[in-house]
Parts: sequence; structure tokens; C-alpha cells
Amino acid sequence: MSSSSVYGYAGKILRVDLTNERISEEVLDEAELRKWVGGVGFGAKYLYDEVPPGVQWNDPENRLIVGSGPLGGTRMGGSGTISISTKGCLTNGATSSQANGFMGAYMKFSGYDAIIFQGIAKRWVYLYMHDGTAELRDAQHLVGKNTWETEDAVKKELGYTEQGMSVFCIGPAGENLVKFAGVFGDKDHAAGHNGTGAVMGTKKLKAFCAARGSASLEVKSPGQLSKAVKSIWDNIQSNPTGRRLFDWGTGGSYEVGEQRVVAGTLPIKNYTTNLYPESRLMTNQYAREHWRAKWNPCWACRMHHCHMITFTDGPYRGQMVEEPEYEMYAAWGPLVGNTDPAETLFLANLLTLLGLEGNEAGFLVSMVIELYEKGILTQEKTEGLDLRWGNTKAMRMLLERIANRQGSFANLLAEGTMRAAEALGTEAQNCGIYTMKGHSPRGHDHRAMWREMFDTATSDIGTYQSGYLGPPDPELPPLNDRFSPEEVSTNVAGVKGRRQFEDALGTCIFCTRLPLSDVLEAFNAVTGWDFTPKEAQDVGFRAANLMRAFNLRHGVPIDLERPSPRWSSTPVDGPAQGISINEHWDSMIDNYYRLMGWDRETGRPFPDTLKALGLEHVINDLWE
Amino acid sequence: MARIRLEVLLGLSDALGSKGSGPVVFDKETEEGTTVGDIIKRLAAEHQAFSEIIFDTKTDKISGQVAIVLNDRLLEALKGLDTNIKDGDIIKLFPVVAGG
Repeated sequence: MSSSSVYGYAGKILRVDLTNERISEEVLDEAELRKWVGGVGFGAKYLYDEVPPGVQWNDPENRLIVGSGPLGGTRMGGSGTISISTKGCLTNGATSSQANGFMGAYMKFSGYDAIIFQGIAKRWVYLYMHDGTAELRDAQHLVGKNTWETEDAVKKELGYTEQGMSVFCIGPAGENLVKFAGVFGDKDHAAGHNGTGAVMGTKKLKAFCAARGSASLEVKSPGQLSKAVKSIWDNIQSNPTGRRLFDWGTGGSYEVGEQRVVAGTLPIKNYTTNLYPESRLMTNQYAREHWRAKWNPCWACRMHHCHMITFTDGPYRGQMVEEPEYEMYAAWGPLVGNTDPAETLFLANLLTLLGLEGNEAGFLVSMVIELYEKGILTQEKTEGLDLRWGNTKAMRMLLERIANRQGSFANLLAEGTMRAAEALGTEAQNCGIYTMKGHSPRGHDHRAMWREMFDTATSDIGTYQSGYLGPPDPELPPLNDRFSPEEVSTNVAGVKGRRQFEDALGTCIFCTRLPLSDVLEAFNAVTGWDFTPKEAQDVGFRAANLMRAFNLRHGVPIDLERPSPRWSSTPVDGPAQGISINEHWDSMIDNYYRLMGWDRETGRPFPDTLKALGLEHVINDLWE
Repeated sequence: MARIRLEVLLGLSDALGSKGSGPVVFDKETEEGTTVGDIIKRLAAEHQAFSEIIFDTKTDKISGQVAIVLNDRLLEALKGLDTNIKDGDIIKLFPVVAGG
């Protein structure tokens, strides 16, 4: 049985050879689909199979895999999500980064479950998918345009309305190979981690787009799916965390804003303090109550999550921006010492327009500001910028320079936080916040969130890999003591695979934030399969182990599985004052590797671990 | 005797029967030697729905999805549930917020 006849799948994988501008189609049989499912599963498979050791992120042989999954384009909430996998340029290792919106649905309506980009085009191009076919088109006229301009220009020239097409693209940052450039689309969404946009840039691929079309997908049991989807929406709203997210999105309510400070998880001034009285201002509730908000949901989503905000006062009056996700409030508010919410929204949107990933940018800029405030960086070094806490005008100029690699200072910063710190010297390395693999973390103060710090530092995809934030799932180990080295490392190992399975479905994780058995009601209704929670988590665990094997073969050493000194420092004030993870790190790694079935000395998954996941072909690659 | 304030925030307050959007606040008097754990267990005993959220059903320990702060310090930075309370203390309970 090929994928064209498997319920929930469009039936074709699109391969785009950019070097020769040649497009071809492939199919996966049902056994392969059950093994990898979609999204990051496809990404792990193709990355491992087709990108051998020695291939660098900017080589033609690197792949950029865009995948939906079997739930993509169905009635399941948020099922327009894509997963982008590639060899990234910050860690020199595997990447999996997700974007919500519409692309995952529309590319399936256009006939494709996934796209594999390979090679390097001789000219700037973009990919156009519609009505079961695809073509490459010239994109020279789009070069230099920001992400929103690019989206609008593509839709206009192809004759589509705003909702009639999904466009994902790079901005100036991707074109200029900034190492934390991301891929942005549908004006409110990004798959940005580990330099996905730089990989697109090096391939001279400005954008890919898919028409809405009129095709629909065949699911095995439509009635059962409707029932499962209703149950999922009801369950999401019946627990406090889910309800809060449903109403306010990740940016949260005033109370949520305050709570982040009370819990010590808000990153403030590059982790130099945990005090920030203005946290209520950095919330969606503030933005929606003070300016004009328009609901901007993703495919089939009912959550009041994504909005567009139009300023109704102040210097940006009349300007429309995307409502930031929490991490962007954190990055462009407290992290950089800014207390003006309008400036936060403006800067967060600027990142989108330029095509820069905002977490890496936030930790980079906050490091630079701290160095400037201490006098280690002078105005001469910053090429005229007065980079003090809260000087958003200077930050704006810096970000624009970085995206365009304009000037030697911005060009240095375009390499990302860790590489910039190495170039700037010991003081910078002491205050920079990053994994030693080379990627800055998500926008939290992880000194009060050990689980996410440990997960991120040991991740094989550049960002955190193993999180589950829904109500208790009987299939997963509990985490009662969030500061217990053993419980934290046990939980990260025990949850591993859960998130990768979600990222294989073609759906938003905020719409699957429930015990896996609930999610599988929808999954099995679509595919007609009979997945158990164990089989589902194994799909994700397989992808995670394959990414691990990929990184080991590509020379990412395990002694880099540590946080930078500042990231793991001891808070000097605030609610987590005096709590330190550092002295526990090695014992956590010991426990984690043991539970993962990995060799402590080399980090390699043991042959038995790989065999249990059907990865026999990897055993020879790693152990012989 | 010690007079303390207990604030239950965000969605946790729903489990105490609150229909409003703000916190549920209890002003309590308690005897010397009472711990934070004692206070929370007493509240849980009075409110079944609250108990089901705040305790992990597998382990019967306080769920890791709930944060407890005593006078602006996380309980983990003190002596955990065994931390003694004193006159004027403020305890805050709320679900951990992460992600995004």
C-alpha cells in the first residue's frame, strides 16, 4: 500500500533539486509511514539517509525537509503546522523547528505530505505548489524584501487572496546567511531555530508557497474524528493551564505576567536580576485591552491565541503588528531592560520582518548590553550605538544592521550568541547565555526551570526536545520536585519521544496538550491505524535517537551537553535565589544517559536501544 | 498564634469554587510550629477538586505543575513543605506557566 492510498496522507513527497531546477515526486509505503508518521519523523529519516558526515550546513548536499503529517489539513485544531528539519548552522547538527499557520494544510491540499529541498540554485527562486503540481519560479525581484513584503508580493503576482495561499519565506537575515535567521510565514509564524533561514538562504530559496485549492483529504472515520476533536477542545478548556492558553495565548493575562516573576522564570536583564515590576505590561491582556486586536487563528483552530494588533496611540499609531508569543515579550521586554510594551511589540515584529529568530537575538542583544553597561564594549566598538538597558532605538538599529551584516560589529553578532561571545572575549563568555553546542535557549530564566534547561542543553535539535506541559499523563513519569536532579533527568528521558510524536502529526502542540491517549483518538480516526501510546511515543523516540546518531556522526561532541556559565549561574535575588544546578549536572547526565539507553562515555545509543526502535542500520554506522 | 495569608492564583482558584478571575485569598490564624505543608494539606482536605489538582495521583506528593512561594521565595529555596511559618507570612500557590 503506497501513501497515496493511506488515509490522512496526500500521497506524495516532493523532491526539489535546486541545483538542476528539477522537481520529482516519491511515495512512501504504509510500513514506512507507520514508522516515521510525518513532520520531524520524515525530517529525521531523510536527514540521516541523505546527509552523510562531512556535509556542512551550507553544502549543496544538505537537505531542508518541510513536513506536515497525517492530521495536517483535517478538522483537528491547528493542523496547518509544518516541521522543518535540516543540518543547522548554530550547532552544526540536526534541527527540527515547527511553525503553525496554514502551510501544512495547504501543501497537502496541493498534493504533498513533505518537501525535500536539496542543492543550491544558480539564481534566487521560490517554489509554487498548487493543484497537485509544483514549479520553481524566479525570485530575483523578491531579494531584499522583508518577510511580509515577500508574502504579499508572491500572492499578488500569483493572483491569490490573503487566505487563498500560504507563503513561507526568508527575510534579509536569511539572504545574508545570518546564523539565526529563521523561516517565516502567514505573517505570524516561524520555524526559526538553528538557522533554518540561513540554510534556505544558502540554497537561494527565497520562499515556498502553497495554494488553498479545493482538494480535501480522505480520513478513515470522519464521525470518529469529529467526536475526538470535540473531546480534545473540551478537555483543553477543562484544565486551568489549557483554559488560560485557550483564552489568552502564550502571552497570557495580567496574572500570568505577574506569576512569571513570582516563580522566577522571567529572564530579566540577561539574568542579572529577577525583579521586574512591569511584568503585567508584557502580556496579551495588556495589548488587547490597549490597542485594537484582531483574531488571526491558524488552520481549524478555535483558540484565542494568535492575534494581529493595530496600535491606536503613540508613535506607532495605525501600524499593525503581530501579537507576540510569550518568548518575544520576554526577549524584547525584561531581557533587554525595556518596560514599554509598545516598543516590545514593535521590536518583536521587526524580528519577523527581518527574518531573525527572536530568542537567539534576545540573548545576544542582552549580552551585548550588559557588556556595554559594564564598559567592556565601547560606543566605538558598537559603531556608534548607545546600547543601554531599555534603549530600544539603539536595539532597532542594531537588529537591522545584523540582518544585513552591516558593519564589522553587526557582522560579528550575526554569528549568534556563542560565537560572538568567543570573539568578544572572556567577559562575554562569562555572561553569554547559550548551550555549549552553540544555540541560545528559549526565553525563560531556566535557573527556576531546571527541566527545560536540562532538556535544551542535551537536545539534538538545537532547542528543547522533550517537553510536555499538559495535565498529568499516566503514560509519562511525574515531575513533582522541579529542583530534584534525579526527578528532572528521569522526567526528560521518560518524556522523550512524546514531543517528537506531536511534531510528526502536522498539528500545533497547543492543540495536543493532553494525555497521548486523547490525541490518539483523533490520530487513529484519521489513519485507521490502532496506535497505542507506547507505539506513538516510540515513533518520537525513534526520531530523537536518529537525530542523536546524526549529530554524533557529524562530530557534535557530548562534552558540549552543558549550559554556559551564566545560563546555569545561581540567581542573586528573586524567588529562586541561592538555588544552583551546576553541582548536579554530571549526575543528571549519568542518570539521563542510562535511562535513554546511551553509552555514558561516547553518548552513542546502545545497539539494543537502536534495535528496539527498528534502527538496525544505524548500529553499523555508530558501532563498527 | 500566627496570622498568615494564603493566596491561590490563576486557574487553581477555580478548584476552590471561585467564579471570578482574581486570586482566592484566605487569612488564617494558626498555631506555632505549623508548616507550609500543614496549611496546604488542610486546605486540600476541605476542597476535593483542589486536592485532585494539587497532589500527584501517582505519588501523593505535591504536583510539579504547582509552584508554591513563601514571602517571594520558592519553597524549594527554603525547606520545602517542612518550612515553618511565622506571623505575617504570605503563601502563594499557582500553576507553573511555561512554553511559548
